[in-house]
Amino acid sequence: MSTDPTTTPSDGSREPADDALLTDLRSFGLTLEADLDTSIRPTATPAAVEAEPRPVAVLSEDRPSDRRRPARTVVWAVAAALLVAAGFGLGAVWRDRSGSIDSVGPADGNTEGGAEEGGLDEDPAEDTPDESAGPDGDDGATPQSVPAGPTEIVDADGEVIVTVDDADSNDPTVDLVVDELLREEALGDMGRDELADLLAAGGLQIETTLDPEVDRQAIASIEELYPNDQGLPSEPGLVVLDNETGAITALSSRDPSWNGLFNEPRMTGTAIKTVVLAQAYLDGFSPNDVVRADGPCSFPVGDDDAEPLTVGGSYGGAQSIEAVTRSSNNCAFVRLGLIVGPERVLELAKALGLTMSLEEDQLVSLPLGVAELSAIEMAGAYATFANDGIFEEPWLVETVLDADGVVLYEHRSEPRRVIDAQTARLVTETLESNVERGTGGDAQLEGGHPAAGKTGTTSTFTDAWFVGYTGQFTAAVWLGQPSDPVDNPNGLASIEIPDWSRFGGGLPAALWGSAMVRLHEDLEPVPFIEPDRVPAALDEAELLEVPGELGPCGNALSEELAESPPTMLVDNDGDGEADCFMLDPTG
Amino acid sequence: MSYEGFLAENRARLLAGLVAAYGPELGQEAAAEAEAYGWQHWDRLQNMDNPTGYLYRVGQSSIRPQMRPTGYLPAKPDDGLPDFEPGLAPALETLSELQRTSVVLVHALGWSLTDAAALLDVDMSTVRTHIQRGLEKLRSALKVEAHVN
Repeated sequence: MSTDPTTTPSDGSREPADDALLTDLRSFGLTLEADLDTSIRPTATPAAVEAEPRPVAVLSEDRPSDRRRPARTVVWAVAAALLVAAGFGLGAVWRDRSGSIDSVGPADGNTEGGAEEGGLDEDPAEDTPDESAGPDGDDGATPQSVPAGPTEIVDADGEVIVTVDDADSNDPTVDLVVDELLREEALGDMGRDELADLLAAGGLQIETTLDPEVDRQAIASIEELYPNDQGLPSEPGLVVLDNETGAITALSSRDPSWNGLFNEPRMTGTAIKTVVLAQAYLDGFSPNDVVRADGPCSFPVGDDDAEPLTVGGSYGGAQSIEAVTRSSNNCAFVRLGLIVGPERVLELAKALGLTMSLEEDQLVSLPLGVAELSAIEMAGAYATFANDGIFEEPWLVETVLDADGVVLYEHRSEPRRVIDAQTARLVTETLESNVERGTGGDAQLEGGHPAAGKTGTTSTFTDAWFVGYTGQFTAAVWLGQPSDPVDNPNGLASIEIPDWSRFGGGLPAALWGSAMVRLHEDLEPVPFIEPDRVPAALDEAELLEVPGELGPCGNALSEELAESPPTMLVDNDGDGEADCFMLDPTG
Repeated sequence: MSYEGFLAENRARLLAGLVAAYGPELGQEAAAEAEAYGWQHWDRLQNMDNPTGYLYRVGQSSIRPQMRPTGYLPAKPDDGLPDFEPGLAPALETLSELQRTSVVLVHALGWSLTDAAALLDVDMSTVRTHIQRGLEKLRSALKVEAHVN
């Protein structure tokens, strides 16, 4: 029997069942090895590559990953700067920022550097660079003009993301930037074409808030959880917002042409339920108020001739609002939506930056997420709850500089309060319980960082979402196919990905959790603020009534309809005969 | 270092990871592919920080097209070896590859978190997370008869 592993997971999460499982795993390992002509354990004698048996294999030293070591140049630059600061005074360091750090030697050496910088005798104030100097001039001379040319869009580190030299650029990042510049009237009141021309020839520099490190972490999580070596057409994407500023710090996907999807409306599925939840809490309902949760359920739609809406995906009798959020119960949320009024939910959605247009007869099904919204919009809406009810439209353009380095535009925050703090905190509390105990379980974070979020799964399985937030970041994860496939009309359901991925609680939640763990690695947990307690608002009997709700199936049984798949026959009265049917959303 | 020397030190771990991921038969094939690749490209590999991790990925790439969806891990204990839960192998196959490889490397074959992380070229905390989630899934899968969803 092998020895115990030296470093088993040490989080103390052992339960009695674990011991049996671990024992089985060890036995399994022995069987696994039995077919091999060599051992595959750490202390075993390796198979002879050379003729004689060798002593116990010495494992190569584990080296910390390169990405964890600070770049050598940065270390030297900091060290040099500190030495200079110690030896020559801060003024010399400041003055040296325009030159290369390498020109400053150690304190005991480089007299040449010392003479240039003036050493200890010079008044450090004289070395302060002229604040008005442009990027090229360190001596206060007028900024040099450079010929206008293509525009560079750069990330938060100043690295070029894309160069715009064509007014007809299809690049999705360019589209996003242009959208924002138009929205903000950043460069005055001009049309899209005019702006595109200006970018192509104006030699501008556009600084964005996109952080390559955040992107790297997000991509690393995608690589880890969804390698997609089968080349499946569905790919995940993440939008990350910084809660404090509302800035978009990442639009991450492995497919560079995917960027547009972050701005492209897709069916949100049940992630939209959070807006219904917020409206309910705004109306004074408590997380403990009870709503009918059983299904299937049917509701009239539009006028009398229209087919009623029939919904599955619901279990249980009467349950609290918090509980039906955790299980993302469809019938309960349709009922809740009708109780608070779908038009009001729509208004709240708009206030949260969600531009939905729904037909009159779609309002009933609003909580099921038939409306299409972009990942950026979803993140922006959820960030409002993270920010105690204050909404800020997600943005990524920090500044626009002209070819001479003159600042043409700087982002100005325009946050607005959409809901009161108490409501936001109630929503957060419910969504946090959803991550702790509900369908969002895979999104849990280590390290004590609280997380709140909601899954979104569409009935056609074409789109799967997880949208959530911590104290510091809000992120929306979307999994789906980048293009509307003619060959693949059933979306995710028709391709072979693990079942786990189709639901928002599967890959999207896990991806969210993984990316967030990486982003929070060096951060202190920021706790969510607890709401005041809210007692149940209504009698149980009152809340159970939803005006106009039909029986379990709104449709009478008809042979013709019953034969067209996919359908599910329902026996209402338990007499063994089907009374009606409903469409089976699971296909 | 010579390639032979490198192999002597790392072969067991490379093979362990690929067998953990794909079972003995495919795992050995993958390891053979990886080792052959290593012979051809040792000049370049020996300058890498983590050639074992790189060869692990070579092994993965070589074998993925052939992967069967289920049934590649041994389901029954070999004669003379201790019994284990018959549902364990099928349950392991439902884990993601990273979860399975992490759980098997550490708990079935006794490698340390450090060694597993280096082989898979991820952080130790990532391996720990995979193990935690993998064990949770196994626990839940193996108790499935007692629980109606």
